Amino acid sequence: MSETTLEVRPPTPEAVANALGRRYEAGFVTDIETESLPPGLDENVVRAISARKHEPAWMTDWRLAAFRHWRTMPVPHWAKLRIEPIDFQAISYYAAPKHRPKSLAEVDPKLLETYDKLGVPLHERARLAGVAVDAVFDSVSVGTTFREELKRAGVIFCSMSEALREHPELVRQYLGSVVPTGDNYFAALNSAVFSDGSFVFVPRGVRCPMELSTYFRINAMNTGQFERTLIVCEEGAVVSYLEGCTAPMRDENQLHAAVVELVALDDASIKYSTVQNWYPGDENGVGGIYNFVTKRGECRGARSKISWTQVETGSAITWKYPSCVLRGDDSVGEFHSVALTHHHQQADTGTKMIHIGRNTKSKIVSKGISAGQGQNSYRGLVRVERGASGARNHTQCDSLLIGKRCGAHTFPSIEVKNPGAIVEHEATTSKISDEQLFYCRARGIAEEDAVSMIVDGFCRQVFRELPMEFAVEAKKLLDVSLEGAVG
Amino acid sequence: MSAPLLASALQDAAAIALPGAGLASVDAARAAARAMLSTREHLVDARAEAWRYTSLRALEAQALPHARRGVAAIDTACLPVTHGARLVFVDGCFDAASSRLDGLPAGVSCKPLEALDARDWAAHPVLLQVASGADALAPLNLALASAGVLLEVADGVHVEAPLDVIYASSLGMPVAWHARSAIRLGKGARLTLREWHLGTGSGLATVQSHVRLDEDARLDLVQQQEAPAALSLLRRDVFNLAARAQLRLHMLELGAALSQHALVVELGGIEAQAELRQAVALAHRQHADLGLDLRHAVGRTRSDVRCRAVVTGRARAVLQGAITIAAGADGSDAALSTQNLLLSDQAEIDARPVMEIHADEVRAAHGASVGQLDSAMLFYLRARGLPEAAARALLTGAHCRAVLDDIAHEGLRAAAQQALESCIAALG
Repeated sequence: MSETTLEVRPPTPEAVANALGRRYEAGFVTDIETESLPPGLDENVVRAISARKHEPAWMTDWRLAAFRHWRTMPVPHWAKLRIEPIDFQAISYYAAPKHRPKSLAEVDPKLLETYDKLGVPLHERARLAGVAVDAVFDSVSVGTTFREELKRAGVIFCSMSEALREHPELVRQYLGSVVPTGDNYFAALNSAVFSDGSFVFVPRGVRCPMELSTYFRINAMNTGQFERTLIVCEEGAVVSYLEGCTAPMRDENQLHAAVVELVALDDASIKYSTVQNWYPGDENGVGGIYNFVTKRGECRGARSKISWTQVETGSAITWKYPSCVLRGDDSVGEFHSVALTHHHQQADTGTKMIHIGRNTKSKIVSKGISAGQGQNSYRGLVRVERGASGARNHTQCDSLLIGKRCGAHTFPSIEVKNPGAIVEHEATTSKISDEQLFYCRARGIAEEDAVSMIVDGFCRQVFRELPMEFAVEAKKLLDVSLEGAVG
Repeated sequence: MSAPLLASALQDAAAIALPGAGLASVDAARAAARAMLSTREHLVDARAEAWRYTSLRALEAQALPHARRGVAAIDTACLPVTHGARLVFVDGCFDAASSRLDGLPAGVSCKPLEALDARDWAAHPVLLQVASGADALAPLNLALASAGVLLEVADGVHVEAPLDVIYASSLGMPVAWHARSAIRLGKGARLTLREWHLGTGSGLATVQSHVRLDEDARLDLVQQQEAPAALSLLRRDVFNLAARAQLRLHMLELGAALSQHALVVELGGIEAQAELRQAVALAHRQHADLGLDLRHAVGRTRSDVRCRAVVTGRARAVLQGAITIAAGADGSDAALSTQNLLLSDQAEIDARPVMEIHADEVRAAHGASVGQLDSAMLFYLRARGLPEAAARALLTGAHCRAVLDDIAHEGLRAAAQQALESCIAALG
């Protein structure tokens, strides 16, 4: 009986580079007539955006106050990111398809084709998918599906522009109540120039009958996208919201500065899932989206729950810290994250859990994967205020390094002022071990598949928090990244 | 306009004769430090991340005279009884009468700053250096340092008995004093050292030291901080370790109203090792802040940091610990853990265990926890007849003592444990 020897070796840098050589399938451009504001930013631009959207005077004033505050703020440099200076005057702050449909039936076929290519159901496939979608194209929403069905359940799901027209009292009550206009540099910019986004209102006791979703697409050149999302769940209401995004492949760095605000009243539950697939730039670090996002949820009511799940695979730079303010007694905050950086991508992402109410609980699971020359940082804050007796937090923060030139960093802060709190943080950094590869190879699994399996296992704790269709997409995105075989 | 503390320090620096005065290199360095100090408005940049949890605004608002001005006599009653070699500095002055240096073995040179000659200053430039762009603490310390030690252990020399460097504060009036030291262990040298802060005085003390361990050297250092309750103690220690050098550092933080300790450890040679242990017990309005910057500059280096804190009253314990593994430092092994007990409604714990990893063949882990005494353990002890206060003291002591158990020298270990027990008993 002959013996065979299984050669097991660590993946070579070239092989890993090939394995991670992703194909960015969403990098096409839609040829569509667009109207846009010329590049530049001053009070007239802010007024012009507000005027185009036929906003009430209070909204214009709100924007102007934010803009004036933004001009006094310094650009933040505390993140572990190398950011080329951004010329805010070189960006157009409003771009929209010329033809504005009144209903989904009137949507330009080219737009429908675009979303079809991206796998986003806007038309006939929408019914099969059973997910209501708000499609945001550059600066405006181009359509929202399942509106009537949702309306019958009492759920408001529409673009922010429409919400300002149809439900101004609700928007005024909640807008900026979680992320104030002067919260930070990019939130202030967003408050001044945001052009659209999604608005969700789930009334008392209603469990939203389907998943809600917004798909953000940047198409036009020299533009930024500044959307604003506001989700309000009244007492006992439940909603699951999904968010996806892509952009064309370009050599320029386009800016995306969004704000997301969530409000959960007593016994309400909001699940917010993101698969972020903005264009990451090429293998030399040219192009890609600068993704500066402020996401925060406030558990205002007792026993309310907010859960953030994110899979971050795109963007040249990610600066994003979805957070929870746990104000209501017995409220719960969760953050589950996978962040992958490859080539020259940089991610500085994490969360804040602010415990204010009694018996509040939070859980943080962060998985960072660094490859090529990618730099991946987890930055988190767990704060237990003086009155938050019985607060609990557990944080798990793991990093996986693939290659010699990448970096994995953790910056957790823990601030505890209540003696009844229990806060635990643990973090590990590792690479794909030779033993793991050997185990898989000894069972006849190709090296490329083995790496994919190991990465999948590393991320599983987060993937299982995603709604099924997003979990499939997230897994596919990572598989694409690992495609090309190792060894 | 400069803060009162800086303004008074500048006046003192021009008026007082300090060690090395008259030597051109020392005078020039002190003058440069004064010039740097004159450009600063505040002791530190309050917006800097390192000072996020510790404010020096109240401290710098006081115009504290240098301890050397107008001192008539030194009260040495506060000094502890020790049996080995020791250097004693009281209120920033070398106290020759209380010091004992005659028993040091051959190959060991130990001098207070005031005994240094031109050759000593020239051979140890770190004594006269301040990094450009540094905050005001560094030039303040250089411009006014009256205390400190130059300690050298020759290649291959093993010093068995521990050496004590004692900084005592005794004056009834609030004063400022400053110390800076340089320590070098030659190849294969070994030394056990205790830096002991104690006394009854008040005001400000800054202590800065630079320690270099050559190949295969080993330093066992215990820093026993029992500074007076009204003193603000600001320390900065820099350690450079060559190949296979070992640093065993035990830090006991029990005293001072405000204690801020910036600790830089550079593992610059392969297989260099640093084991750092910190035990903190604070009460009343005490504030202790450890800012650790530990760098694995080359491969196959190892660090292990363990901190235990217990705080009560309105006290606040801060750990900002950063471990960096540089690109190419493969084979490095880094671990950082901080476990904290919060025993009162008004106390606070802040922990920031940072890791920056630029190499993939490494093991790096950190953990942090904040909580209270385990109720099951408390029940276990009470069920065996221990009163609640005794049970609490037992568990609290055990929590902190765990990081002192591996002090290699029995006498130093016993003294550290005794100091900790006394402090915890006083916490109530």
